[in-house]
Amino acid sequence: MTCPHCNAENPPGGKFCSSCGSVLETACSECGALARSDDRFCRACGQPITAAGSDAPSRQSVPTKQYTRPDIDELLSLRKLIRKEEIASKTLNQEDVDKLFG
Amino acid sequence: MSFAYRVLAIDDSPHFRILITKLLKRFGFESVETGENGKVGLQKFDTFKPDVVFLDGIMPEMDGLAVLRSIKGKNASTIVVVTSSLSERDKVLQFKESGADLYLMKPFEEAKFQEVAKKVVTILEGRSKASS
Repeated sequence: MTCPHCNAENPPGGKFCSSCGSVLETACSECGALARSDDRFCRACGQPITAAGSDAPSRQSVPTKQYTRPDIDELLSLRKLIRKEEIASKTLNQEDVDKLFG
Repeated sequence: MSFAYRVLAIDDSPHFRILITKLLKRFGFESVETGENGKVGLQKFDTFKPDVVFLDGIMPEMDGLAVLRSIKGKNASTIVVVTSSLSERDKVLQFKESGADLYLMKPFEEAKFQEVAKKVVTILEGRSKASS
């Protein structure tokens, strides 16, 4: 997909140019009319817009999250904490053992 | 106070064998034998015929669980106190389900050992009264 602003080539399906950040255009798969990639329906024929040359449904409505390094570190530390608590819940102390043996 | 009950302690740690022998004698058990592994322990079990076995849970070659099952198969009335650092619920349950009477978690304080020893004596005395 070519950016209409800077002519940089972008992979299909993107909303913005990876080079200049402009809104990208795509072609309606029904009538071939140009549409912005964030349009949900073609202005010319009213059909839903999907990425040209692709049968895959539009992913515009799928929320995505970009994880940063601090996010990943936090998730990893949370996972460690959960694992530690799982282990602790399966281990016994003398008091637990006394109850178990009566 | 002294007790005539025979006690066998099976543990692969020489330090622990010395320690538990001292604790048992200090508590009042006069007749104490030890075994350094499961195999030797079972041989001593056959000859010494103990009333109580203090059994290590983790030992090389033959682990505590296998020794426990063998002891209970030979004489189900023998009181077996498992002495182990194993604290996983599943492992402890395996010992209980295999017939362990008590479980003393290592490391332990002498007060806790005495508490367990008192329980052992109570069980044995209760049996003596019931049979007389």
